[in-house]
Amino acid sequence: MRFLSIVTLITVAVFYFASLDTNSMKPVPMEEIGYRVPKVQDPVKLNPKTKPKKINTKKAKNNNLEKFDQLIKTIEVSEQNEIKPQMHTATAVMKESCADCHNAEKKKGEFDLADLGEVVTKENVNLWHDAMEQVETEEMPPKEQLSDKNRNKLTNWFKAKIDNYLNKTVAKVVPEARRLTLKEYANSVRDLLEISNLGTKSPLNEITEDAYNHGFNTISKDLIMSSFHLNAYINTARNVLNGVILNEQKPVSKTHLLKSQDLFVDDRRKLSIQTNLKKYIRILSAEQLVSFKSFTEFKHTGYYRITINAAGMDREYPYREEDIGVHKCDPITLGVQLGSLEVKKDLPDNKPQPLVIEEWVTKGSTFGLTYVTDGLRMSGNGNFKFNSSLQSKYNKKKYEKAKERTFADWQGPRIRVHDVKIEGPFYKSWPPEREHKLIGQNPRSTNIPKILSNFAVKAYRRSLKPNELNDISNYSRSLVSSIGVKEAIKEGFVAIISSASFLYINQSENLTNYDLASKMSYTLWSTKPDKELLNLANSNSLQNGKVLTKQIKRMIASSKNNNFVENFANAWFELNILGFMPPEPTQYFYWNRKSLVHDMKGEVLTFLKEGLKNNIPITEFVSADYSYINQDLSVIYGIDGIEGEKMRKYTYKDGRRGGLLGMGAFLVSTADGVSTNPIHRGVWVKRNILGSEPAPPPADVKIEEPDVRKAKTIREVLALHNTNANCRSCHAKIDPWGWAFENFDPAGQWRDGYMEYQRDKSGKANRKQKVVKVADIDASSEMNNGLKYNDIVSFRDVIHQKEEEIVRCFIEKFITYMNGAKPDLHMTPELDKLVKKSRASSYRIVDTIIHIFQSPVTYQNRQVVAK
Amino acid sequence: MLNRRNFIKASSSLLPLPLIAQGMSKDQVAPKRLVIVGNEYGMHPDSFFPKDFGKDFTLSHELSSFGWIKDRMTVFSHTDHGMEPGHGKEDAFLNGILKRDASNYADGNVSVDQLIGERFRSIVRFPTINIHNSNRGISESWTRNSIPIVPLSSAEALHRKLFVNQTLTEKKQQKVLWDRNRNLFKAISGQYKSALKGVAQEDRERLSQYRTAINDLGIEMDSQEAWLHKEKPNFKFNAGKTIKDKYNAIFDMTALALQTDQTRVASISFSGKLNVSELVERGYHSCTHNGKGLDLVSQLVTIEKFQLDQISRFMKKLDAIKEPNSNGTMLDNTIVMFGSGMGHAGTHINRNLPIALFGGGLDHKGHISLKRKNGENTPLCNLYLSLINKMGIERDYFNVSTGTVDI
Repeated sequence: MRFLSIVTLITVAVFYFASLDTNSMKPVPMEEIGYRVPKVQDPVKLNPKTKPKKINTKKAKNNNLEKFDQLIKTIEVSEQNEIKPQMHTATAVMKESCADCHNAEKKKGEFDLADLGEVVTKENVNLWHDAMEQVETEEMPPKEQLSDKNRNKLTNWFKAKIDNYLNKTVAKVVPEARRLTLKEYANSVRDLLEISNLGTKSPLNEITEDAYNHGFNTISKDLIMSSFHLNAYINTARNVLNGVILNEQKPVSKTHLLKSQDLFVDDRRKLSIQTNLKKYIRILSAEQLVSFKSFTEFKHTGYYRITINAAGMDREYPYREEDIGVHKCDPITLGVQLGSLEVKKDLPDNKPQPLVIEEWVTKGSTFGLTYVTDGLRMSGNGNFKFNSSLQSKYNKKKYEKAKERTFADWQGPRIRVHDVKIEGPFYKSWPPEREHKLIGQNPRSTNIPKILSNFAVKAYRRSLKPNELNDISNYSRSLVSSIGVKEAIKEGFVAIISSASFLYINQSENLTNYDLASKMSYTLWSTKPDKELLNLANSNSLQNGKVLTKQIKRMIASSKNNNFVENFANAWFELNILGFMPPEPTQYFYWNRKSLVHDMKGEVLTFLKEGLKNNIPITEFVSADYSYINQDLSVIYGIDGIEGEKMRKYTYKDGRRGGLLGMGAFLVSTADGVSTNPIHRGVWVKRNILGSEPAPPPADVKIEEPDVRKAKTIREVLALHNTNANCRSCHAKIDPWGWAFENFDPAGQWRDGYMEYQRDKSGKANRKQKVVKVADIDASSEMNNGLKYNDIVSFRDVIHQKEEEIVRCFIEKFITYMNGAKPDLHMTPELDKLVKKSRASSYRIVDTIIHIFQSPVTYQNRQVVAK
Repeated sequence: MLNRRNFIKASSSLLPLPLIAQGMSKDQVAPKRLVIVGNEYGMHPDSFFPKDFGKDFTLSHELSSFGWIKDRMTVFSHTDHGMEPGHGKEDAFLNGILKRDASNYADGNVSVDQLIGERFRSIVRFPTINIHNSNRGISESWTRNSIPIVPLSSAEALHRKLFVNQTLTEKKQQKVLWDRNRNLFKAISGQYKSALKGVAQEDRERLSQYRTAINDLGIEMDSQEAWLHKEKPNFKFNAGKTIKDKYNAIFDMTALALQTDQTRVASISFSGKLNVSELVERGYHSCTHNGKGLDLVSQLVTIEKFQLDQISRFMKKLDAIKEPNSNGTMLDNTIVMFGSGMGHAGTHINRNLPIALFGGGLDHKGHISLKRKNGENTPLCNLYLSLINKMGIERDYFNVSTGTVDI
């Protein structure tokens, strides 16, 4: 061997020296190496469109000043024909207050008044609208340059022009074909195949999670398709279908009985799992995973019956709840891990009873048991260790040597598993029902076209076009000779659920009943339409008002609305960002140790779910004096007497909380973990409650970073920001919506002053130190229109007035979620109508949703435009 | 007959590998390589940019670990893409244009690393490798049709991609699968065309992404198949726990991948979602909004210096390896670029981007200002055009470039 490598070295060295070429620093033309890439275009022949546009300012200077004067003249002329006499001052206003900066030469803010043109058209309506907003919100002209009276005149003139145009055009809806989200894909495949899970070996792990766009995961532009995605879909499809069409000999069912001697013991865990117990297995902490060396994985795909004799021990343990973090009133929960699927079971107290689980498990899945709890992390660094100091506190027993510590004295909550029996795989029939439901008992090659087209009709959620499936059918048939009929059909199914017609929704030119059925089911259930919806679509009755209403009510009331609740809570309240900047662990100990993210999300989801169930007014989401809390939340909110994990309704009496704005989810996700900032909270309120996105900093403003080293409280910090007039013009409209919340700290807790931990000798601050107040809180502010408030209580009165804005915001968000794109400006008249209809229904949420589905924004795609 | 596998195994301690062993012809030059290291929050200007100019410049605090390479580096002041302030513009880091304008440019939205990497598609196993250590990446690498390249999200994933071979059985199965996929693509293309009949124009465009995906997947499959039976080099991988360990591993693996010619273009990034809890108290994003508070600025600088120190360590490794067929080291034949699409995260300004070039045998000038006589900044795309030319591709424009920069 050594001889060989020496020879190799010498040979190589020879070649090495022979290849030295001093003339070789020139780049080698890539074509010589021989691969196909499109040639770079000859720059001379470039399409002028590809070079960025440059404005020749010198030329424009002379021409456009004239053009501007022309414009003013034509507006004056056309105004006299259309609008009342006092409006003619609008043009005088523009000449005086706008033209100096917004002409072709200076073109400040990239805006030239001449761009508006004479009339509002489809192409420039957005520009007119932006201009109107700038004037109305006092961005432009700056306050000093225009009196309030003239500003109103100008705003109204703009509004009149725009409304005039919009009322002539019918809502032009552009619902964009979009790819299914990850959840929608999973649900659709699962419901298409009529199975309970897609497999228990992480069936979806190749597909990337969808990105969120301000909480929305259904925006069509963001749901891109690339080779990476397509590859993932194809692999996933094959993987899932391997668990449906089994194509093998029926496996023999076996029974495994697992006891403590069968445990797999990791050296590190010896301390936690005692193996000399012959009678049972002990699970002491949430980090423990109990697995068995005699049963490492499920050998075949199929149904398994798992019977576990287990009990929850010492649920009413003798220690203080604060030290343990487990609620004594809640049952102890066992987690059964079947591969990537977790099944939770509440355990009986102390005396073991058999718990039975029956699930379809994928071959190769592992099996394990855990203790499901968010407690047992209250001491030390949060990892559960047998805490002998706790023992000595309660039992007054002292241990002389470390090895004397045993778990025998531990009386904390824990799980005792006596034995586990795993039986399977078994099947209701052979071939399994899931398989013969799709392909029959004994399919032949000649059955393939029919089997595939039946499947495709369900998958594509519509009837098939002539010859549409020929290529896939031929593909499938071509495989029969090499892999057999069943595998060939499987490949046909793979092709069908990897095709664009399955992966995309909102596709048609003219909305058919089928499209409407899909729209309803993907919006309200995140899955494909069920049989009832499809039958109604078949009989063309879905667009009937009464039928539509009944169906929407049915869908919202169904338990399948979980997906909508989660996804829309993200879209409406940006709930997905909760947890990105959690409260600082050293200062907000409880929040971190008890995993409050889960509880805070639960509060929002419960409120939305109950709100839908009870058809509450949309405004109640903000104005409610109640919310849903559990024990962990009650610690944050400072409420006594709440016990247990379950969410229950609680009515606040102090006027500080209730509804969205008192919920931890909002307060925590708008803080940065260490401090609060009215700007972030103000932006959140504006964007998600009032539906008015604050303007970003202007492009040509030079932003100076404020020097805040001398400031102490956030009020002083922002006072320094506001020394700049440019900043103030926006912040006067944002900050007042956020000051009210200053009494809520980064963990969502009420505070009467800005508090800090005193630092110890080494300069560190932790929960062992005392907390002191460093400054008073001033949670008052003044709105842009002069309205003042003192604190959160009086602020709530202010925001409760904004009923129309709140409802309009909801409607816009719902339409965005449903259509995959924000409502177009042309939808404004229709949105106005929807707000009115909602008001007629007392703004109730389900009724509003029904109105939306019955409006042209949903069911009439691509309407004819101008009259 | 040369046994490449054993040879490479025996020389896995980073000995120089003669070109012949890599399957290159003797007419070819030492490959020029490009490594781009980026982040999405820019750099704290006072701590990054040196105060003086020229070859004898004084290293700033954040650049202090580059003392050993001071004569082979250039820091550029006054260059950027001319973008408005705000988030979302840093996506333009490697192409100078925004996604929404991409259709106006001949190259679409393609980023400079993808453009260069594409040229080496048939020579190397991976045209580019994109890697960071986070589950939320930065979108700096883009394809022509505005699809962001998803970077590998961990050191472990990179190891699997570069150094783990498939078994013979797996390879046989892979080949069967690829052949079947080719026919599958034809089948779904056919269905797609039939289904498109009667679909509105706007939807055709949206759905055209699907058709492009099928085509791209075919091309990728073909090029992967060419490499199926070639062995990957060996690398013993120790997954560390700390962020420093992870990035050490990432850079080490990148170095070996470059050395064994698995790729010639690598892009390594530090996402804004980087878990910096081992380095500082606050989150990365929080540190950028520091209001000049000393405590926070020092935390920000710690995070930023960590990134630059990683580059220094990486380049030292490259510099210790002699490049065959050349007078210099691997570093002299590898261009390393550091930069960001964000200028100053505190104010979200995207002007005066922090850009530095190292190695590559370039004509380095220390710290230079690219401010023009008329007071404007030089477009960063000019620098990219120069990089493209240095990598052996003859072009005279790249998106919004107006010329080149002498490097």
